[in-house]
Amino acid sequence: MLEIKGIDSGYGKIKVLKDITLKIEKGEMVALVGPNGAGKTTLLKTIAGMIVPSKGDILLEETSISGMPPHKTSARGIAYVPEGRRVFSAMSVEENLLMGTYLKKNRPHKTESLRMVYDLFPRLEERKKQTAGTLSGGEQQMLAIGRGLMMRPKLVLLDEPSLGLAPLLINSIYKVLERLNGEGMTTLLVEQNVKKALSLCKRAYVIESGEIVMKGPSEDILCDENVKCTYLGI
Amino acid sequence: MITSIIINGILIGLIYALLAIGLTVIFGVMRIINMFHGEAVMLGMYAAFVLFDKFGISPYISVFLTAPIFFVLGSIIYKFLIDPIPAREREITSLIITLGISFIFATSAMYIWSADYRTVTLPFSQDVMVFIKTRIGYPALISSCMSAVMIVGFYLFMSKTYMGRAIRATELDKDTASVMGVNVKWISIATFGIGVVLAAMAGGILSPIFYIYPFVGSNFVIKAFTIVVLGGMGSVTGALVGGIILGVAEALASTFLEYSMKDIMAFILFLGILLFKPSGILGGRTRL
Repeated sequence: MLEIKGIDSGYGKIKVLKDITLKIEKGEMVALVGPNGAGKTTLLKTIAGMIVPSKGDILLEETSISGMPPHKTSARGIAYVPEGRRVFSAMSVEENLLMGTYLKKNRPHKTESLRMVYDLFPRLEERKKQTAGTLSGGEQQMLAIGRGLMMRPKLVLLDEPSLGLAPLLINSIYKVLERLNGEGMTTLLVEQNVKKALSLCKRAYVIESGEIVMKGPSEDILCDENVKCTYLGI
Repeated sequence: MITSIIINGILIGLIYALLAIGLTVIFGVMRIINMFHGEAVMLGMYAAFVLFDKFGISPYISVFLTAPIFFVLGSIIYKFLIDPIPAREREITSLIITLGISFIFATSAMYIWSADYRTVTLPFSQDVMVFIKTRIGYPALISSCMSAVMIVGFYLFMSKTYMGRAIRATELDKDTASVMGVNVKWISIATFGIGVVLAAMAGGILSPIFYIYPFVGSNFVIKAFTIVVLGGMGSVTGALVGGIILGVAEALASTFLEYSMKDIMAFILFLGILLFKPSGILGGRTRL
């Protein structure tokens, strides 16, 4: 589904990512974990087209999407759910969701897509007329994920869905992610909450200072001594 | 008497609101202080004048005929003169560029049509109706109603259509809008075009009730800026409220103070709002 081949990327002259290689199969949910400032968000932004990589190639279903602007990568089927929710605060919940059907090919499915998101997050249906800025952090996260799903994407890039949320809300968000995974949604999940992410995803990459330092099945990574002491505090 | 002053103030205020909406939308989405706005109003007035004078087409109809031309004009100005400006110099440079463009258009208008004051005299220009003891001229009434309809129409466009929502989303968060599939550059060009169309249409609608002359734009651009600041930048409902407040304030000033005091009301309101509520009456960030 997604293949990243040795990309370098960053902001202007500041290089953040060095020679990143990563692969996601169709229907797979893969975690990308690492400390603050490791380059996790930079990688997602590069895949989404918000940053153009200086080297390497990004393939989505065998076609290169490297260097495409975000409005084109989204048309190819990539949904980026940004860190910190980034809902359109002055627009209503439903208007936010409808932004997910902005692409012409998604407009005919408007009603069913709304139904699907409302079934997944009944809270959003209760608040559909409310201004998005007045929602709680958890509800805004649901909205951000729902808005991404409205795009009927082939690949979802989820950036820190648990950031700043209460444990109870994190659990309910993760329940939904689990369900989406079961339904075969291909996802790249970025998290600082290593334990949570690794319990959900079968495979993971660990990124540190812009380089992939470890990859493999989640159990192996959880057993690694380094990971244990750095991320899990065991 | 006070009711009739207020009614007349509201009627003119609706036209002022239409005048300001194009400006507020351009500012909201692109953070561009568009000094060309007043000249777009002026060009709209002359377009209405020429079509009425040469072909006898009523300004209330011709504004729709000339709208596509103004859209193209606005898009060209944005694409070739404003878009190439680097992002960090945007605000100041775009102000200077649009100011320059407006001088070019105002002096060209003087060259083409001379400095004479022109009027559009409709067959019913002298007719008056009486409503709650208020004498209302037919042209003023029709112009106000048309402005009101267009404001409502624009509001619906911004809230109910994909493009309107994309404009608002771009206004709120460019990066996230682009991730949703919005071509931000194209939306910016179109928004500037729409802003110019709204200004030109307001000009056309104003033509039966105001004198038309090459430098009329500077008069309107000041009013439009006051309304935008008054109502809150980027807000359509704010522009409506601000327009009506300015219209009523002007009507009150010209009756109770002196007619010549009318035009300073804009500045008084402007200073007042900056002192007491700089975010505008409806405040907050970019509510529709």
